[in-house]
Amino acid sequence: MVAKRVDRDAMKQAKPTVLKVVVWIMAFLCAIWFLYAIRGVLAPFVLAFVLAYVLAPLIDRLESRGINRTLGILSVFVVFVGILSFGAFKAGGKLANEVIELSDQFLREETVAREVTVFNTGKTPQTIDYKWTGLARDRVFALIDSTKFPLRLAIGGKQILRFRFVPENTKPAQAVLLFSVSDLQRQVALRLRGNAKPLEPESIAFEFWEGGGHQNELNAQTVLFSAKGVDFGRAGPNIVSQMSEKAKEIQPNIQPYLGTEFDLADVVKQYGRSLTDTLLGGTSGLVGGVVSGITFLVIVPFVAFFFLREGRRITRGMIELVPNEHFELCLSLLHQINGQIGGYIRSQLLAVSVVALLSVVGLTIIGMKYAVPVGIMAGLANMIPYLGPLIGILTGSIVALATGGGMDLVTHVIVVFLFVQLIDNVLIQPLIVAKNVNLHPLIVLFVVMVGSQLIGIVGMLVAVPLTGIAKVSSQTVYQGIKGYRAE
Amino acid sequence: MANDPFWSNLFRRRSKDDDNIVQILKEVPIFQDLSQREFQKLVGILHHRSFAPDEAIVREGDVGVGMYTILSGEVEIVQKSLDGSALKLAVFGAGDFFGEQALLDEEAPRTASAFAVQTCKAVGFFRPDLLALIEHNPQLGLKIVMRLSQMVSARLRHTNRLLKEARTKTGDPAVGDGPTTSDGGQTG
Repeated sequence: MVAKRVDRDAMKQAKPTVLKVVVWIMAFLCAIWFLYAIRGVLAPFVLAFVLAYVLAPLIDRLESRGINRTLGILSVFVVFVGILSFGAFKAGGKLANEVIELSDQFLREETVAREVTVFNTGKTPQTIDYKWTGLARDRVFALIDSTKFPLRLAIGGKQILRFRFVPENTKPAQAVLLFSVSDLQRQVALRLRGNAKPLEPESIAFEFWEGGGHQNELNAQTVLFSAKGVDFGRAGPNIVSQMSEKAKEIQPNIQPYLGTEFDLADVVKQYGRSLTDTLLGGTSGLVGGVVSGITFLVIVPFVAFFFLREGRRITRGMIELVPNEHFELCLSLLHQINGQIGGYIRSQLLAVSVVALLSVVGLTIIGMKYAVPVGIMAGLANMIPYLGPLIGILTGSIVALATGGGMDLVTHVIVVFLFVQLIDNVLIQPLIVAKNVNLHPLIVLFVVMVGSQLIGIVGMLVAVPLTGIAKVSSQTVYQGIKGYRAE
Repeated sequence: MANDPFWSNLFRRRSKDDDNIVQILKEVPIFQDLSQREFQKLVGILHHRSFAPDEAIVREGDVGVGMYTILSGEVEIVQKSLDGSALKLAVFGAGDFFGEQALLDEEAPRTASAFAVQTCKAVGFFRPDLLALIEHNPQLGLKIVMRLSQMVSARLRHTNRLLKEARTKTGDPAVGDGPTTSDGGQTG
């Protein structure tokens, strides 16, 4: 009877079950689809997961010293949050401003148009003409339809005047237009300004409907302007069009090789625009929309707290669902994967911090603007093998050019990043990232593109670590299964 | 934190069951000198499994991950003999345990299979959990490891004695170079 049982058992194991495999693959695909569908909500959970892995060793150590786990987690959180908020207090505001400024450099509108309406409130038709005062010579402001002047306004008539602001740089600009009205002794001044600090609300209200005089003179006016001044807000060439300008300079030199049809400046502009939109557009949607500051501040620590406190019990509850036949294998694999992921996340994070710190210090030394955001960006990008360092150098160079640093600064930036790469490859990677997850360059390229397609720049950054985790896990599973069943 | 109602409802058995388990575990030599508190902690990391009649609990040749303590039902321990036939070694009941060697060995294959005779409930204690326990609660972990080592040591002594007896019977000195002084005359 015993022998029969062993045989039957062996038969059950050997039976190929295609249906089972198909069902598992379907379930796997469904799970992936589901995760993709709810990706917006996942961000705080993923972050909490990472945070839990980062803090786990510290809390384990506290627990082994006899400190209650909940108390340990709370005290670590208090210290952690304390350091973070101190950092945010000290540097966060400046960093946020720099990031906003920098993304403004990329996404800025190049031209802005505004309108001012002029009404004839008098009892006779009016003729209106204009002239620019001396300050307008730089031609960054333009009056569209200037050919209509001198303008004739019938009784009760109105005309919309359209103005355009096309700055060549982001320096503050202003100009004054003087309108002469046939029935009016003195001229009416219209102030135009752009890239200046926004006007105080009261002064805007004061200027509104003011026309040529003060409120009490209003009835005496024959012509009324809807505004006394126009504020165009911030505009100017963004980084893409600056690069396009540079391309225009190079164009004559390389035209013979490209053929006459090819317009380099146009290509740079088009691709640069769509690249910027893809990278920053997707990200701002994800980060700004679903994961607002409050969500992050409240949900991430909350979820991380439960991962840390109940993690073991949650995994125990999950593993109890596994059928007896595969139970021991799954348990063993789960623990191995857990260890591997923990090591991977912690080493990556440490490497990112060190590279970011080195880059920030280096960039600050060479006197570059926006050293902190660029350095952090370079540190994060460094998680992507092969492409990461390139992204760092490119971002640094572009920002150096955009802030008017010139080629000298670009050279310095490249030297800084090469130096950081040297330290990264000689010291950080061998020492910190001990269990190197070697991904094939093609796989890296593919997953980075998929990540960027799905959720923009954040997708690019998380694609490689996620693939690394997947690779580590599947390697562990494969080796575990291979070694587990002897027959 | 063991008393948190929300999570205990989700992931833990009722505490009446826990009390029964503690009663059974107290009889297991490995857990003998644990305090009541430590037993509660231990129960928190054990895995509850139930097996249908004839279902394999462990298979000979598979990599062993840990030990099982039987809570109810009967378990047959079966070993394949050299000619391929199955050899019934023992029948275990509630309170018995097996597979404890896997707690110490890494990646070592099971030396025998265990099958449930009737529907059988057991709790499993596995190496990864023991390692985690040593990390989080070194005192408790060390107690268990000490007991385990004592058991292995006792078993080794027993094997040595058997070996000696076997050698005495066969008169073959090459069986081992253990404590052979008593029958040293034969080698000379």
